[in-house]
Amino acid sequence: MKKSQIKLTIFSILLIIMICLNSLIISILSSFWKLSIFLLISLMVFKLLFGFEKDNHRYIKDIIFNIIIIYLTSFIIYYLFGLIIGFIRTEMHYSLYGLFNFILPYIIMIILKEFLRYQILVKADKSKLLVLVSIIFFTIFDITNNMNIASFTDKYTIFMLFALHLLPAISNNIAATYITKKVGYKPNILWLSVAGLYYSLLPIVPNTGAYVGAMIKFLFPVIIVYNVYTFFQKKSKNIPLRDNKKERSLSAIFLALFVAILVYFTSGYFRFQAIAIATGSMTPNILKGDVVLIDKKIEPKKLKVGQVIAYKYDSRIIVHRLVDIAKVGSEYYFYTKGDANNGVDKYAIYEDMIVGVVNIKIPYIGNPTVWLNEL
Amino acid sequence: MEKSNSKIVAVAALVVAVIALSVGFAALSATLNISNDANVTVHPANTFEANINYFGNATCTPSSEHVTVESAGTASGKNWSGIVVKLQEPGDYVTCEATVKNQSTFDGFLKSITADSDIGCAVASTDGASSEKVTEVCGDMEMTVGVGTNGTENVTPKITNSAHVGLSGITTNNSIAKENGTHKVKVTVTYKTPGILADDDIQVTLPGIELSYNTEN
Repeated sequence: MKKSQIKLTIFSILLIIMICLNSLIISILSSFWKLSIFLLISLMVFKLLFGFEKDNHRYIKDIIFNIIIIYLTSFIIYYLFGLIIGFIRTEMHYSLYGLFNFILPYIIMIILKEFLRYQILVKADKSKLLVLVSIIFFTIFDITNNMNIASFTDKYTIFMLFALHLLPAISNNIAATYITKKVGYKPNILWLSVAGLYYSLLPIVPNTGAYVGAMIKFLFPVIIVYNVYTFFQKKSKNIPLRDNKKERSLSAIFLALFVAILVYFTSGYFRFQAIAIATGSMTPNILKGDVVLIDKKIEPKKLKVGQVIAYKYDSRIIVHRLVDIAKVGSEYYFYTKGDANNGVDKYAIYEDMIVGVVNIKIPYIGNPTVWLNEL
Repeated sequence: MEKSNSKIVAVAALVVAVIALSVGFAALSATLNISNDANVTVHPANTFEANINYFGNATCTPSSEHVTVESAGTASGKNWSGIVVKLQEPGDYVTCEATVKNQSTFDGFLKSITADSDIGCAVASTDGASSEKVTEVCGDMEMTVGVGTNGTENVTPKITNSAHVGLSGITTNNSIAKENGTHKVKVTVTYKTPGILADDDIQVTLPGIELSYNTEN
């Protein structure tokens, strides 16, 4: 490692320490303006110590064009998805207050951050340690304000910090690092600004919920990286194009299918929903740790005694067997029992509580979910 | 080869992250199965309770032309209330009927008939009898409730403007068959004879009637 790179590594580690202090203890960088000032000071120190490099990368316009196409396509799919799952109103920042306290400082922060990233990575050259340190710094920088308010005693909050902030931040920063290395910092300013601001600039967005939202935030940078990677593969003269294309296509198709299947069954937005069984009340037919598929396309009036149904009770979904159906006037009341329980469940189930019928069971694969829930 | 390995590692890392997200959200969302207390035995009455109720509309029949039925009341669930009639002279009466239906899969047994208050009276017009007279006349109003196959099998003691003892501990002629068996509930309010003659029509409000059934006699 060169002497300048050692100095740069120490500089980057100091930045990490400072941002960690802000995240966990001092918490003074509480707005985008303050974060921008922090970056500006860091850039000034960087200039004094190391000087700046000019951005001479090629294909910037091509990559920016590709990113615009990816965004347009993604938004079309995103809003079409919203036709199925519904929309929610967003908190728009169209006022002067929003512009000066949110939109403008956010864009300035992104510009300064990506410029700093570029400068560090240019000096890093082939040093993997410096690249890693820079990714760590910018990841913690991105989540610094979320870590301030997090409670680390509650497993739900810890997981949400991980799923909604940390994992997307890691994904964003790995993607931004890769793109910076390939084409400089300018494309990053575009896609990171749109990713961070669209929610504040659009009046309605699809109501994806936390799970699908986390998936989108995590996987979207992967799509951009894949596009940039493919672009440079086409430009490369070293690797035979045909072999490489087949390999890339297979990986992309596999990943896309995998994610699509997972989201289809676990999001709950579509006909079939997979849930993990957390107790043994339906032993021996359905065991703890099994996953069952709930078919939501049912008419409660056509249910029969003996069928296994899923219903909502006390903010949970319960899977038990129907033992009795009563009709009072035009209304139906359902009574259920766990196969392993001594008695019938202590309450009547109304039609609107029923989620669906369980016909398919996949043994054992729900165990990680059950173990995590029991922690 | 090295690039190929990196790609495999990258795809594997993505797959692991996606699985971790899915497992985490599944674990922390409220979509898991729970069991009830395995040792609690549910009495069949809990499932029976929801399915034995008043059924259809209540009707009232006055004894003569000058007797008016202002409201036959509302009979729903296990309660029948809001019966309001106007009686003019001793001998006048009104008979009201409602039906209870057992739509459960258990045979039922009537255990008690309860009136929730005394009979209430009011003068029908503003320039009618004085309040003291109304109270005096009200003492001559009597009500009985009979419940059974014909509505005459289990009859309460007389309910008046000063007493509303119902009927409890019923053990005979009280069964109501499962799967749409019915009981008739017959309410009779009578202006007693001989009785004090009011200067005007008296509006009589009857107490609500609640029935209690069980799966055991």
